[in-house]
Amino acid sequence: MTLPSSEYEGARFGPGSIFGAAFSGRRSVARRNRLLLIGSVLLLLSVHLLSTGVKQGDLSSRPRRILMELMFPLDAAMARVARTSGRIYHSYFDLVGVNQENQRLKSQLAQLDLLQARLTEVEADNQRLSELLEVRRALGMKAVAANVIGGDATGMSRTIVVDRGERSGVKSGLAVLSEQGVVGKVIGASRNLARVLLLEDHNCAADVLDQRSRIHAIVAGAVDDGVVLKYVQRSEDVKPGDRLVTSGLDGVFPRGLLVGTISQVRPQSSGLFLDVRVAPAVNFRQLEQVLVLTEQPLRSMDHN
Amino acid sequence: MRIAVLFSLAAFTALAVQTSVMHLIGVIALVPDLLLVLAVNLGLRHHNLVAAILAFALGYATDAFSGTRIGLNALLVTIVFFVCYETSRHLWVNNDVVGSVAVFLAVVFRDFGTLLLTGAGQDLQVHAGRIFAQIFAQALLTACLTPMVFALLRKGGKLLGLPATSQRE
Repeated sequence: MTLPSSEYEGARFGPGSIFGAAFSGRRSVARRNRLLLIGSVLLLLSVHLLSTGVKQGDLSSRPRRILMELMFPLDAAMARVARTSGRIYHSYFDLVGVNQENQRLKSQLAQLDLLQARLTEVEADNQRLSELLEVRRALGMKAVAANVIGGDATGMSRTIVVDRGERSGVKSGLAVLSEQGVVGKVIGASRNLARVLLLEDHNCAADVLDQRSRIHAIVAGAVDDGVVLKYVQRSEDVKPGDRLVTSGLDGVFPRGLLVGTISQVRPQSSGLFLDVRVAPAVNFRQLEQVLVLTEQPLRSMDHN
Repeated sequence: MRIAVLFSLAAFTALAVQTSVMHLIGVIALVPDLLLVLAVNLGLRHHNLVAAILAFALGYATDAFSGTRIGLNALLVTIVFFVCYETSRHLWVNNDVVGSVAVFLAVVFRDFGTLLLTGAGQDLQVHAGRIFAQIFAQALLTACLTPMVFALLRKGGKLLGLPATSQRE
């Protein structure tokens, strides 16, 4: 139990000390005023940052980049440890509970399993990287492969951290892909790290085309997880199963990349539009490697 | 100064846990907001200028690794700090239970604030049930971890020679 504010300060001057109480009271008020003043300044600074928006390269974005750079070794190390632990967990601890008689054989088997798991992992990495290479060749654009080493610091946004930054040509606004389709776009980069806003975040959007009916629409993340097709009028021809590809009009994603498939179409309870849910082509929870395009595509209108 | 060292170390560890470990382990989809726990601890137990600046820095650090808008978490976390500071001045009891309740409310406030300030109000109306459930689950998880974080801060403070009692006005 702690003493209330006035008693806590006054206690240092001894009980019954009138001068002490008055003096400590004045000091306490002065201290509180200072705290409130600096607090107001900090709040104003936050509002200023929030309302002006910080751009890459701005002076005010420097602390953020330094922080990202400071976190790089820690994040990379954590990622390595977590992946290794995950592999050990899956390859070894699954075997817990084996028969006592077969302990020695099981132990050998576990070692072989570990080895095999590692080989399988290397093979899977190889496969994914080959596929990413294929994507890069097919697009005919400059790109770098990057490992996913972290996620969002809160549950309210959908972002990932990748181990490629400005040193590899990664900067804000570039498209990020996987062998399955569109992943998102870069929203910030330091020297060795970049943050990617996933397509399933409600602040991310891409201009898409329905491959069957050729209707243009905007794909964006929903707050409650998942991806939706926005601003589709009730009269438009969209059906579950339709594949959505990037239109190339937004200047971020090249034309023709798979975004997802329409999974549900229903009219909104009020309003002019349809409520269209999309099953994304990419499984955002299982991303390990991604491809970051290091050049921006020509807008398809310019292209034509 | 020692409080700055303690909370900087704690913030780096918390950031690493929030950005890497929770995502790579992938056991649950929720991410406990440990940086907010640190801000609440500052508000409840450390009433000085350094604490206010540290709370702002914690919000800024969250902004560097979450969301798209710099300043959003800095603003919300600074508000949380001041609400905790004001509240704790009128409290007789300042234990871990109070801390857990404060953290629960802080996470709910921060998450709703984030949604409203990022213009997700319309989605909030449409998918209210699922969003509320996610926010409350996250708040509950963070609140459950609060006593552990507070205990670690106490131990860290002891190692650095900080006073054992809370430095309230």
